[in-house]
Amino acid sequence: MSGIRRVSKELTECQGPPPPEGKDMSKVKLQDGAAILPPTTMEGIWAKADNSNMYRWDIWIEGPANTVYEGGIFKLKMELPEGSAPSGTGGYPFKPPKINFTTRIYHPNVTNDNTGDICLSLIKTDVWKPASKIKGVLEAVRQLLIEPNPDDPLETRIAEEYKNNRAEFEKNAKSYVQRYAKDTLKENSSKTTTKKETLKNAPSKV
Amino acid sequence: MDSDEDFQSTVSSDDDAMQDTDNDEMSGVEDFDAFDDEPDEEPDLGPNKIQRKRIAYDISFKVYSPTDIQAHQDEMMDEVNMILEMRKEDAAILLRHFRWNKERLMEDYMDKPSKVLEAAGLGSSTINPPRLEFIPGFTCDICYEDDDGLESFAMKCGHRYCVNCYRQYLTQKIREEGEAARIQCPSEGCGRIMDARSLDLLVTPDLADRYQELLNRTYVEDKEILKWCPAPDCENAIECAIKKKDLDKVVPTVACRCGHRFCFGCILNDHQPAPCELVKRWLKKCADDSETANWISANTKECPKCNSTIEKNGGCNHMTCRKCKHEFCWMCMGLWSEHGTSWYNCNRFEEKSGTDARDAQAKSRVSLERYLHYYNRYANHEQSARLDKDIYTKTEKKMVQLQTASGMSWIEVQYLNAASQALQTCRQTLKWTYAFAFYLARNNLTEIFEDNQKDLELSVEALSEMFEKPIAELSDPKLKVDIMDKTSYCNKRRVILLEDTAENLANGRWTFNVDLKSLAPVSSGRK
Ligand SMILES: [Zn+2]
Ligand SMILES: [Zn+2]
Ligand SMILES: [Zn+2]
Ligand SMILES: [Zn+2]
Ligand SMILES: [Zn+2]
Ligand SMILES: [Zn+2]
Repeated sequence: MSGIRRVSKELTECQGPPPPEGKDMSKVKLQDGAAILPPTTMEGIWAKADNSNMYRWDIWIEGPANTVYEGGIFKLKMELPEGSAPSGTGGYPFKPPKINFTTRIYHPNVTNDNTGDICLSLIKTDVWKPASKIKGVLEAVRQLLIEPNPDDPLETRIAEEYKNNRAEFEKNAKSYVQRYAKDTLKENSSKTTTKKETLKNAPSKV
Repeated sequence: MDSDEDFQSTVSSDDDAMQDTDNDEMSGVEDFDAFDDEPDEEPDLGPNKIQRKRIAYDISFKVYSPTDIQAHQDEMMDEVNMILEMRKEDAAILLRHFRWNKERLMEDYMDKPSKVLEAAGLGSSTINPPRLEFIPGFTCDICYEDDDGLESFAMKCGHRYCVNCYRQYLTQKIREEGEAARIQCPSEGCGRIMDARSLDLLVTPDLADRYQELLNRTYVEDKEILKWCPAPDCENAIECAIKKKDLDKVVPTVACRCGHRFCFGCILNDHQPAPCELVKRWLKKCADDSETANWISANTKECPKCNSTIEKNGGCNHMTCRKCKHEFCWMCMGLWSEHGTSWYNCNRFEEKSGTDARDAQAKSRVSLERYLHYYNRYANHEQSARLDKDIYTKTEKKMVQLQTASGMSWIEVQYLNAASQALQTCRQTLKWTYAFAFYLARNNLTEIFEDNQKDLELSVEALSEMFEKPIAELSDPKLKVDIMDKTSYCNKRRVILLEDTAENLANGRWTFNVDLKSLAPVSSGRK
């Protein structure tokens, strides 16, 4: 299946080479648990594929500096559609990746619920191109944290608030960061993840 | 909302019948030959120009087969290809971009050619015509394969990918997403549109066929004067120049070669004489009030005299109670003896005098009664058309037996087919006259309308009654002549009614109690 070749190559593009001996993740001055983060070639974004399935990735995005999300770490799940074997038709990269926040976030373009759907034009079926790359998608998601797009909202109420009452928006967004995005890496002990996932997967629409 | 049955119940070729009805008598046999599901014309004769005498309710239209639709596009592509000296497949992309408005295309192109090309997805071009190539050291940016001998392709934008990726991409777009006219280059941000010739180089013939089918689809959908025939499995398109703003003046019924008759304005089954806006309102009202009106369309009612249950199993509304022999009208439950005489007023709703309807409650009761009066008759004709069809199907079987028994030929029993067709079509018209009447405000013309409605209804009921006669009687030559006469009379009455309503509609002489221009600005000159 040709898709695998591309996916593993893309993972390498996102992660870069493993760090040289002796130099570890501690340059990433994050909270406890930062050691789980893989190396990365991107600013404030880390990506790791499932050990058993290359088509499922965990993503972490650090709240960009000078934004309301600063100080938080947001975890996302990315699923690359698998085509029908053996030809792989209809799978990634001919279909766009599906990406969701698993950490709750207060944002006009992310659903304010457990599914964490993102409104991002790049990964809409009619915009996505097979030559588009995951790295670009992840960078676009991070860009959305720096610059929300209230004119194409998933949460109209939050979008209105963002446009008309910025102070209130900032207060709410920051309180979400405090509540949900502070212990993202700590939470990552296998026990809490499973618990959180079952909870999250139940109502989601795959 | 259209059931299969609905479609079938209106299948008829009575257009030909209409043409003939100005001649005094028409033969009931050969004018109704649609029941064998054969198109009237040879399918290969190209555009079927239906040219008929101008009748007030008649509009001109053409039926196009998929081949015709293809030919039209080719013709325009050739023209643009010649005038602008561009590849035919690029001309096609340009035409689609301009929604087949050739004049505007030419104008804009002459003005700013490069801007137009860019916007249409034909920007920055290399000179070489695209072809499949082996390029040493090539790596595909989609699958990351770099095998020697990996065949690759690029459109004129120069974004090169391996043919396997191109094929998968195109299959995904065409098969799964149903996209054709707007398939872009696989490169992120590149708006170059996939052209037909490149596609042919890359995909299997059956995928290319599907692509062409989808393109035809956009062609018809892009043009306001073209619409697909909505009959299931019909691939024809109809051309009709009716404008949306004229839909309060004309009811544009068109007939496809497949036999399906529908309104070009709203795609619903033929609903003459009621204009589209009334139909829309009526159907919505019926859906909203469905519970109130449900009891009416029931197949059983009680005899008004002895209260025994009576089941309706044919289209005819002349009921005779099996128990007490009371004869009554299924629609109004009134005495049948009063029907067909000067006392007949089954179709007309008698407005109660003012004294009855003084308070709000009484008013709302009257308005409900009024609605039920029209709904009752509307639903009844719909139901009767179905039952008439059942009767025909049953009869048809018996006729086969009768043929063997009596020696009558298949041709000789076709008068029943004609009668069945007439019943269907006339009931379809009658049905809509009641929705029409519901919205009609009284003026000096309503009486003529109601008389026409009454005449048509009476003759239809009479035909329906003959049509339900037992098989033994049907083979009687005298009854055969009667049925044929009645059939042609019904068709004639229908034409008269439609002509009258259409003419007055065209001239704005009807007064409706709702605004027909609800969506468009109201023109001040009309009432
Ligand atoms: Zn490839
Ligand atoms: Zn391109
Ligand atoms: Zn048709
Ligand atoms: Zn209509
Ligand atoms: Zn009785
Ligand atoms: Zn009656």
